[in-house]
Amino acid sequence: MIAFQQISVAVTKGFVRDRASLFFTFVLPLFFLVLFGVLFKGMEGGEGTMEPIQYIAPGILSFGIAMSAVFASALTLVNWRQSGLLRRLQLAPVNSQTILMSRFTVTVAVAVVQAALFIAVAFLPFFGLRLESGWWMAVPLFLLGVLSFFSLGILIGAVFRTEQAASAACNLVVLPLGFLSGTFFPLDFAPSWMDTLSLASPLRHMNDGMLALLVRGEGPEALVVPCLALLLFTVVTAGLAGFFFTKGEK
Amino acid sequence: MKEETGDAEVAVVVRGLTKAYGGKAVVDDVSFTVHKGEFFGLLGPNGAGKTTTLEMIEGLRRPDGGSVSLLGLSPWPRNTSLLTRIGVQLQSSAFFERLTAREQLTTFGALYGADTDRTEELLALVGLTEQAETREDKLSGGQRQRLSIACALVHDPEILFLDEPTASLDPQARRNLWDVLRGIREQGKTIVYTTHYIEEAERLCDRIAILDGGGVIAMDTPTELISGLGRPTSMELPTSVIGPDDVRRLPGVEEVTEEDGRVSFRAADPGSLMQALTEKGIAGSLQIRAASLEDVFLELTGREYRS
Repeated sequence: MIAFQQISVAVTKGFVRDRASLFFTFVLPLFFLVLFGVLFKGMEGGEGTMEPIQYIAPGILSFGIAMSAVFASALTLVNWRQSGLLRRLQLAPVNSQTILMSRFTVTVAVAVVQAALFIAVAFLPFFGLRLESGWWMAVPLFLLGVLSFFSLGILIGAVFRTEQAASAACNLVVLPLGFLSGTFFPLDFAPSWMDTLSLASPLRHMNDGMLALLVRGEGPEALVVPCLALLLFTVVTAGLAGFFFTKGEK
Repeated sequence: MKEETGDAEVAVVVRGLTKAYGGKAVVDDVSFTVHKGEFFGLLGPNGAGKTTTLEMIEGLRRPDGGSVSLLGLSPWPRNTSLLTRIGVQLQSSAFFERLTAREQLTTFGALYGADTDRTEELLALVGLTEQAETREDKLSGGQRQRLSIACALVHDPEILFLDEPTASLDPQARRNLWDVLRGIREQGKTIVYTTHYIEEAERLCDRIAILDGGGVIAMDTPTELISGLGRPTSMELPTSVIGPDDVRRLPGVEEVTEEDGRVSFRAADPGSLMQALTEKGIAGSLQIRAASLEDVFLELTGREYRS
């Protein structure tokens, strides 16, 4: 337990002391919010009377969380491998689950702060976001979303051995996921093959669930399919990550 | 060499250890025993198989053949109860990103469930008290190596494994580290370490195994290794003070050779030699060159030692 705590503290301190990561994690999503907020202001939303902010805010938030969670977990693995810390930890009486759990816990904590900050800003009268009263039911969906991004990041970190390659891979994976998932434009206008393809993206399912609960006021039953899809995505990526990691260490 | 493995006095027993990569033997039939409280050195040029040998003993790599017994137990497969009894410093000093020296010790301590009260004591032991609040990325190479050793000691292990702790350090930093290592030794810890610095191994180690081409070519105390050469101490005088013919007339002088303005010779009776040189007023020009481990390496391999 103390190992879990101290690794979490160590990872958090390492994160907080890295200004570039801080900016990237907390400021960039707000920048997108302002950009799209201004862009869509006064435009008719795709869903009748709904204000555009209601539609774009959950998407941008999910995208921001996906970006930072995938990058952070991939780069932690790559950097720890490169610095020799992974091998050093292999010779310490601590198991890999503890290390992964610590890293995941920090990722969740960062995502929660990201969401709180983002929603607080989106609540400002200029943006005028309103949440439905059942928003708290989206918490399991949120956690599963973060878990699936974390797992995707670990997979990228297991496959790519250098920081440059892993960063490029994160961008190449997460940006298309954002486009496919209705973050930047509604999929209602997209060709149907794109809609089908987007079903493989965890962001799509996180978006679907968040939209249903946070802005459309639907009940928890709307979360079943997104949660199962995210769980499936996590299991597949974690399995692949385990495979590539074991292969790489041999 | 004693064979016992469960013996209370024995820290490490390595028997017939072998490891090959791509069909090429990197470690080839290496055997040795390290006793408790010993400072044991694996000395050899780069590529001799030192690190691979050490990593198989630590349990980081699986041997292709042979056996390792660490405190009577096998390090492979990973045995966490054994990991709490050994301390390791790997070739690259591995730290948690952007943490200070003190935070590294606290974190590593937690990994071992160790008593964090020892943090200050460890910082003092490795001479980093003033750098306690310095982040790992701001430490010098020597300071990083010393912090890495302190991290290996957080849980008060019985055996300490160090892989090239002094490599790529400047002479001053190396000497500082020697004092740290001697200090740890005095606490009664067993130390197994690799180095490619001959004179360092000669100064620090109780016993040395010289590795070359994946195998042990010699093993003993530094003194025994050198005296085993049976080479009398060689002496030199510059030709500017005395010619080779005059040297031959000195008492008890043998094997006189001249090279690069110096006459080298061996003396069977150093007492009379010194007296004769003093009478000639040139005793102050005499230089003595003792045999070293480099000569041992040359004798055994027929090659000059190049790290």
